[in-house]
Amino acid sequence: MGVVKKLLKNWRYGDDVVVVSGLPRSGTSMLMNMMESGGLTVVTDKVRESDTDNPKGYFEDERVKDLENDPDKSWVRDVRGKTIKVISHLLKELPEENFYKVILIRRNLDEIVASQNIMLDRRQEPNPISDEKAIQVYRNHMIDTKVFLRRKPNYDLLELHYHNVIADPIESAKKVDEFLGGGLSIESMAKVVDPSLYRNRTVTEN
Amino acid sequence: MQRKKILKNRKSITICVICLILILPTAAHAYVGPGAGFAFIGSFMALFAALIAGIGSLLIWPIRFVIRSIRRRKVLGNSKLKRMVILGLDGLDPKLVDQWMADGQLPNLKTLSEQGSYSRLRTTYPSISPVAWSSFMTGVDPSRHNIFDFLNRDTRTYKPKLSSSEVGASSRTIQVGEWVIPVGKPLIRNMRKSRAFWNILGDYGVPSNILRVPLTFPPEKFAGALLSAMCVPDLRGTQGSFTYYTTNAAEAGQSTDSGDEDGHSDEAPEVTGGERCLVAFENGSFDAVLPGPDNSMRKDSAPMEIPFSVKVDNDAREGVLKIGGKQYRLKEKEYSPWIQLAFKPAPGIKVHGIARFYITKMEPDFGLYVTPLNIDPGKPALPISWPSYYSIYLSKLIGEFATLGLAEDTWALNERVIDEEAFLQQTLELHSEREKMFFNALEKSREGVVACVFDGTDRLQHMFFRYLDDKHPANKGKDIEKYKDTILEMYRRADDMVGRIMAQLGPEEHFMVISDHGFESFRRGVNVNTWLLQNGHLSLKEGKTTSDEWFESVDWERTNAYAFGLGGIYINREGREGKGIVLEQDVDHVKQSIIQGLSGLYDDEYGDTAVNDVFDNAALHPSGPYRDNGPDLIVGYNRGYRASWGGAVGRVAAKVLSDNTKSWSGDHCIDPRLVPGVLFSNRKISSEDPGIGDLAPTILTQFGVEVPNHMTGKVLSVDNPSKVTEQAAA
Repeated sequence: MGVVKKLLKNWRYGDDVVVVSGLPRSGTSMLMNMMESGGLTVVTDKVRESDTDNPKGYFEDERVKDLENDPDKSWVRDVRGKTIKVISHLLKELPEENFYKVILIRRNLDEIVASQNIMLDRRQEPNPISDEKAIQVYRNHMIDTKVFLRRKPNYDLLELHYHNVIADPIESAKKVDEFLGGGLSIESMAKVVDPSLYRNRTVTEN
Repeated sequence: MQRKKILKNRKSITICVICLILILPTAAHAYVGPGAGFAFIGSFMALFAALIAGIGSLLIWPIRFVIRSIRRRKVLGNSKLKRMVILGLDGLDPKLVDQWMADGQLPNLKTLSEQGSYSRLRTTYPSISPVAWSSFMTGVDPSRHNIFDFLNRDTRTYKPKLSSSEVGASSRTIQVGEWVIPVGKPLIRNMRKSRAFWNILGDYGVPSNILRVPLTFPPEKFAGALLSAMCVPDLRGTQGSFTYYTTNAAEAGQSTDSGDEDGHSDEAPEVTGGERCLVAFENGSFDAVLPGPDNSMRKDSAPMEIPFSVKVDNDAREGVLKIGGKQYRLKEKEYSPWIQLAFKPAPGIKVHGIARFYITKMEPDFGLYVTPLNIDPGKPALPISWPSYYSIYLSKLIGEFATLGLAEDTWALNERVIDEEAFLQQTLELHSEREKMFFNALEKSREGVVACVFDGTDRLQHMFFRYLDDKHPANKGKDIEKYKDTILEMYRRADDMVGRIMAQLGPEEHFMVISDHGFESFRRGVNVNTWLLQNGHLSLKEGKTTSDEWFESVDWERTNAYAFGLGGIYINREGREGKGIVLEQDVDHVKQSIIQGLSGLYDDEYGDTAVNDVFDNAALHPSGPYRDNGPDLIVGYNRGYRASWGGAVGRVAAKVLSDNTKSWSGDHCIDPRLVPGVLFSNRKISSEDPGIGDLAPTILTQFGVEVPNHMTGKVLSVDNPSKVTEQAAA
């Protein structure tokens, strides 16, 4: 981006809001952990505590859940210069006044569905739709999400794949660092990636 | 000593080459042009081959006659006519026909409609001539004949290629020094699938004389005669590139279009139609060269050239052209006759072409326009007729004539190299040539099918439609009076021809006048690639906000879809496109997303809908084997709108919608429901909603030939007079 364009962008939007996003169970919490370890300020209210499904914590902020229904989104402005987790279906609810650097983490949809099923079983919650239908819905949703992100001038997008983060956390950390303009502690980011937590793999995976 | 040795070596090589040319049976075939694949032989050999073919035909004629008679007896009982005459008037629009028939301007078409019937003729999706005429001749939809547009994209590179034919050089060559001698045949392949009705009729001994029906190149072998049309290339291997010589440096440069704020233009690419050459006068004359095809018999493939000179007399408003050892007088603003040209790729070998010269202006700047180099019909460098000697026969009969598929040089007018007067003159003279060959065919072919397509109606409507539309943006600051009756005059000319044809026909003959589509004004261009970018379906490389032609700056790894050609959108499919990313199971969702977003696109500036609907090709053509060669989506533009010039060639502009200010001011590549063609018949056709794809099965049925199962068109109900049927059977 040219110097003038950068200055204009900063004048209009201020510091970037870094958004970690993806489908539920796609690795967003892992990524938030990496961001915090790398030196970024993560916005979380710690209301949801760590559990078996997420031993290292959820890194969520409950206010995000209200984005869909609450017209008052002014609090997001305070996240400028910080990092927040926003699940992918709520990205379109973010207010227009900020510039968002979105790191979208992707994961095999059958793994996501499997992971969600385990979580639902553990909580003894019923599964509302079939796995096949869920995969189709998620697939369409991810296409729409990327189309949405590409067309918005105040969004930048970096896509990571869960497998690649697990397999080569250093490389993934470097990509995030470059995307955010540098200054992160890459080693620290990579250290928090724990392959033992790579659970819920399906038999179809290579 | 060294120099003598070098000269001696060169001489030896040249002798070697000549010997090879004479000895090797196919060595005289050579290929020129960028992929043009011309097969040419020395002029003597061409005539010799034609003579042998002619004698051969004569000798086996009795055998062929017997075979044909046997087959003919099988269908004779069911035949409802002796001869069918089909007059194709490309782009004849029913709304204009209705209006002018009511005004008494088209008396013969009116008589024809009253004698038999007249209705709209449903066109194809998309409503483009190569698609529609292909459906006319094969009786199938595009997913079965494989033609969806003039151009198709190379799925590996996203670059364009001609959809109708493939012409390429021989893969087997012998290299001798700087010479490259081809020893195999060139690749010349018709990409249109499915058999034409005249081919099927020929199996049953029903002859056909087919003249200039689009998409008949290369010509197919069948029991009849055919002269190819769209997309016969010019001698340079293009679809028609002019040459323009001028003393004005700016004119000799590129397009004057300055583009949008990013410097990118939604206009057509800067060099579209031809070569421009700056010339300078010395003592009232200038020397120049006429560039021909690339010489693929030379290692460096340098283009062949013919030198010429022009001496000008400003007072007399004329010049003298010296070319090929002959002299021609050129009057300002008058076309020369067809001038024969011979390019020489190698000793003893010539490639023959014809062109016309036209002085566009003399003072203060001089301009000389040369038409595209047509293949000489008397000495064809490529097969342009069946039998091969048919074009030679026609050239002997009526003189030289245009062989280029898209003969009328619309690009020259679009680029303002010639003006309306010059284009009109050209079009009318081409129409005249066509009439001569058609009426000759009517006279000589007394049975079977005689079909001829005239392109003037289409070309003039493309270039003069603004005169019928006072709100057209191309009218700003321009005359709107002088040529306001041009289209009407063309329709009247066509009507007059209909009258002369009807005067020749008897009751045992079925006569139809058809058009492949209608016409509408083209006021605004829609750059669908820009829309796709703005809506997240297409991405550009880092730092880019627009793209030059052929998707130069597109980031394929983040692109779901792209627009290409005159109305198609293609999904960037993994496994199909070279850099496809959309998985098969996601294609439908991406399609639906685009359909929902683009359908109903509104033009706020003009307060009108720009896109009526976006059609899913899979739904339109669910079962044809070539469906996936075509676009995934077809854009149904509203009246007044069309794919923008830049969008059609893969540019991404800053704006989705822009005014069309070109001379090309009318079009038909829009919602096909808005541009049906016409169907006139001297025998009443009572079927509802006839389509152009219904004509082939109907023609076969009229001759008592069973309709093949693969044809998707339906047989139209024709009221054949009973007495006539008996006579025809007799």
